[in-house]
Amino acid sequence: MQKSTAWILGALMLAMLLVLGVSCAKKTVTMEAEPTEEEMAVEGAAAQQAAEDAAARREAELAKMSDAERQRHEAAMMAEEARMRAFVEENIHFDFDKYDLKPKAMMSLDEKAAFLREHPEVRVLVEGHCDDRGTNEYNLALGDRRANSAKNYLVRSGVADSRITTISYGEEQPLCMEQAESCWWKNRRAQFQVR
Amino acid sequence: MKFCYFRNLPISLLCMLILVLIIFQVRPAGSRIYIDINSPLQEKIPIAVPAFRYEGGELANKPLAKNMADILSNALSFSGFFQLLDPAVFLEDPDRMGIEKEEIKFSEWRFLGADLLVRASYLVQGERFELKINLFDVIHQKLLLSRTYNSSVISVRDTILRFADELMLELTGELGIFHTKLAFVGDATGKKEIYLADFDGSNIRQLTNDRSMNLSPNWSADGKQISFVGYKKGNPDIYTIDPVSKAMERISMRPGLNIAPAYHPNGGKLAATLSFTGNPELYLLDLRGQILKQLTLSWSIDVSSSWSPDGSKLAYVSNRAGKPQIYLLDVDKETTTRLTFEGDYNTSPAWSPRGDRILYSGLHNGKFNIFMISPDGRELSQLTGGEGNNEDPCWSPDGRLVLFQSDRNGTPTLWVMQANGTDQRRLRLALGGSHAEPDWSPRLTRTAP
Repeated sequence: MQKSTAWILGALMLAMLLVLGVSCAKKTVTMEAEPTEEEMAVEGAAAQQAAEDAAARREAELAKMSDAERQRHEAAMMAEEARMRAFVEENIHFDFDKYDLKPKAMMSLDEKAAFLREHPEVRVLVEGHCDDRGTNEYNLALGDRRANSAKNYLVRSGVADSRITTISYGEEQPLCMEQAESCWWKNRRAQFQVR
Repeated sequence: MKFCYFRNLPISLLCMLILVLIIFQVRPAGSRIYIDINSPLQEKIPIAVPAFRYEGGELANKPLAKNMADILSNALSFSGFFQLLDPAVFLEDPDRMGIEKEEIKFSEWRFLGADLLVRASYLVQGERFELKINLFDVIHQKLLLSRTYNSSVISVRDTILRFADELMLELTGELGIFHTKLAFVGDATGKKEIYLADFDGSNIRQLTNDRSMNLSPNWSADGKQISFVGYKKGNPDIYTIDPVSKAMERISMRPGLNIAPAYHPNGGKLAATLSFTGNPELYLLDLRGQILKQLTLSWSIDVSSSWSPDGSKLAYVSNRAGKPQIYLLDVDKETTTRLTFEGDYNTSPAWSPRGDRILYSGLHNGKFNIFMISPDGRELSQLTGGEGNNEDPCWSPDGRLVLFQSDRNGTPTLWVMQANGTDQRRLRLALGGSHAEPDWSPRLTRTAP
């Protein structure tokens, strides 16, 4: 999944090049709701090819640009790349045994929603997680509510419901293993994957 | 006659009488006297199990004598009813002692403190063995139970456990739990898989092996199926599996959660939590996963159900009042009552086989411990405390033992205690990693290989 995510990000880079008017060839990556492993492999290969093509084209285009243009362009690219990384890497956190969104989580979700509105081809998997206190089954339900809290916020922010799926892992996939609040805090999260 | 016989015995056996009376007496629901079932059990009955006498046949089989006595001793000790006398203090060479009443020196066994004595002899012929076992009341110098078994050498353990079951039947009026299995979640492979073990943790067998994540095993009332939650297809779905053939079926795979399956005691259906509506609710499903009835409707989490033994009620966890607490649902009347009020976080209810008690795990002072309460909300007691987190309790089918998960030694592992909280001991499981979410099978008529 990580690998295919990387290639999908690569494909997104291509899409951005299109937006910036560097290329005229329109190529989008479509994704099935439930891709099979084979389809994902094919998609991965296609995305890989697309990313390689984009990189080659980018080199060529960059060669034609003036220094000022090139700097502006690269700054824009880096900013967009940072947004994508933040989308995937920035988790939102919850209080113990809670699934309501804290102000900081809403700010983070606002950014994610803006990113999703600008990239309608992106589909998202929202994972709900818990710290390891409490029972497994209750935490599965809690993780489900957390993922849905995040999803519902994104939907209310104008992202189509059909683009967002959720899964709960309960307490099963901790990021941190110590028995301390600083660690439990990290584990009580919704996490975002680009599909 | 059992009752007359017990009347003249010392206190320890009188306790048995009380137990027998309790088991056979039909009481109106909600009656209170029942509860003291645990207190008479605190005094254990001293029993001697000398090595079985070898009657000849192939000499290579002589070492079985000690093993067989050990199998029986370990099983009886596990039940929590007995105090096993140390064989080192026995006065006679077990091979020279007879096994018939006339040959037993009762006064010597009395002197050693034994109330009960098991004497057995066996013979091995090729792949067959013949076993004769007698159970004596030392104090009254009476033969209580005599059994002869003829079976294959490979089923030695099974045969001895059959005797142990019958011994319990003789003494308590109810079969033992020596033909039961435990299902639990283990992560020895690095992934969570479902495992099976015998009642005492021996004979471990890995049931699932898909390297995804498998959770929440639950035995059907007839012991022929286990339901569990598996992530094999990328979503928490409910599966059923035949523990013998390992034939598996995915029965509920709706979007969102398909978790916490709990077979109905009468078979044919199970309760589970599904969240395809966006909120985790309890449903009643048939064994193919079709919804028969929606059981809860709220904005809160409803999960982890446990049936009353008559199948009329469900104990489950809901956070409808803001924090997870145990609630009782009368399925036909569709009425719900809140059971727990102590503490801010109570989960994993487990209804006792006799219906008179509900176990759960609760968070107090930052630690999880196991509590017991009666279904009317009275007689709350704490069974564990002061030692790590103790969670996920379940009952032995006779209602005398509680199996649970504890991290008191670091990694979460399985522990057993008497239903009154005494005698807490770690289950001996020859398996690495952590062990969690145990569920105890009913008595099994067919045993898995």
